[in-house]
Amino acid sequence: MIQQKPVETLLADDTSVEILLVEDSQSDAKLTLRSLFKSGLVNRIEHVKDGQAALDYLFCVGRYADRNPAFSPKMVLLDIKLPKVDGLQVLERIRSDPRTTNLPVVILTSSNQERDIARGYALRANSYIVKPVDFAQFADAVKNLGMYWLLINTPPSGRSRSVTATVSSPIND
Amino acid sequence: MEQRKGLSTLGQHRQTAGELAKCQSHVLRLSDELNAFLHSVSHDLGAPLRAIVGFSEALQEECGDRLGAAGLDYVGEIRAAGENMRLMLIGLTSLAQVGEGGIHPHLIDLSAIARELMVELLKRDTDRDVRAVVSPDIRAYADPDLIREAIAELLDNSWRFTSVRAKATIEFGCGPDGSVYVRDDGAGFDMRNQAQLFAPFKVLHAKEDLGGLGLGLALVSRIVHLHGGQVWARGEPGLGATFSFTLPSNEAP
Repeated sequence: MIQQKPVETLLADDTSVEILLVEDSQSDAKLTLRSLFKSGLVNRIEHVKDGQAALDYLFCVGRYADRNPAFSPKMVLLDIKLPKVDGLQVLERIRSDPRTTNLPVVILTSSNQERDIARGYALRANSYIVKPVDFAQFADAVKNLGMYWLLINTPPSGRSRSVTATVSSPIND
Repeated sequence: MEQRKGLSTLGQHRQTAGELAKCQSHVLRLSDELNAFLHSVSHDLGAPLRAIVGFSEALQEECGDRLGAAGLDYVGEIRAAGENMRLMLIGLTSLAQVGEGGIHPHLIDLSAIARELMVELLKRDTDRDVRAVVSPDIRAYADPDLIREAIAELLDNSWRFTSVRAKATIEFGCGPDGSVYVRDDGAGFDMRNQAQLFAPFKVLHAKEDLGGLGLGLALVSRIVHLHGGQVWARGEPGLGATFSFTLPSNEAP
């Protein structure tokens, strides 16, 4: 299946996406992307602006129908207050599907309401982060979580690592 | 005739009591609404504020070489204003949250609290020559955390407003009427401005001079009122100020 597509295409899309960022606020998305890229930890982030687009991306349907379902981002950064399908519903769908049930999901939201926090953890969010209003703290939080989930944490299955190996070996040869 | 008069007085009492209850529930509802408003204001302003400060930083870092000295100075001003606004939001949020969990009064040694807080201030600012006078054994029924916060704000206020003096005195005591006071010989204020003192964000002296966001006294007023007490101030420009409050001396209000 991997061999059916030229390596360039694979590298250009699915395989290299490390983080799926689900964020409807244009400014928060830009600041998050800037902090992550600045940290030098991340090369590719897919940014979607609503919950439906996030699900379409993860399950390769709709405008992402051509995406290769064998590749999954290493983590999802998920806002809660989202248009179309809200973040907690997205999380529920992620957890109830065997393909994504163990995918690391970090909630990054401005909501500090007890109800949202409890619901997030009940749906097995891997972490819940309230966006600090202070920009320096916000940038630090984003950088730290990028570092933790992309470098320190071991993902639930070796899939994403073996995929990287499969793709990179033809280039090295 | 006598009986009829008695009945009508009773009726008036009932009517008054009914109106009072109505007013009380109205006030409670307004207070809830105000709190909800403060919460959403302090919460919703956070995102645009983060953007203002964040993109100012991005501008400095990525385009700083093209901005020139004046441009960089302006961006610096934007960031500083954003930072100031963030502190105001924090203050506003804490003002909205005061007493959210209810107040839990017990008999407290206010003098002990004042002494601790004075020691903290003296340690924090060793350059200052301040004589701290705390009358002993002033006790009252109060919520320990809240009343500590109120006393801390009053002492901090006096601390800042005496910074204009080489030598200053700050006094914590109890008046003959049973009111508790914090008195200083600092910058003081014009009694005509007394009403504004306890309103949020009203700063009678230029901020750069004496610091403070103008929320401390609003917080004090809110805490004292939550206890069912009164708060007031006396002062004279250049001669100092006295902030007094009462706490109901009986048990739980």
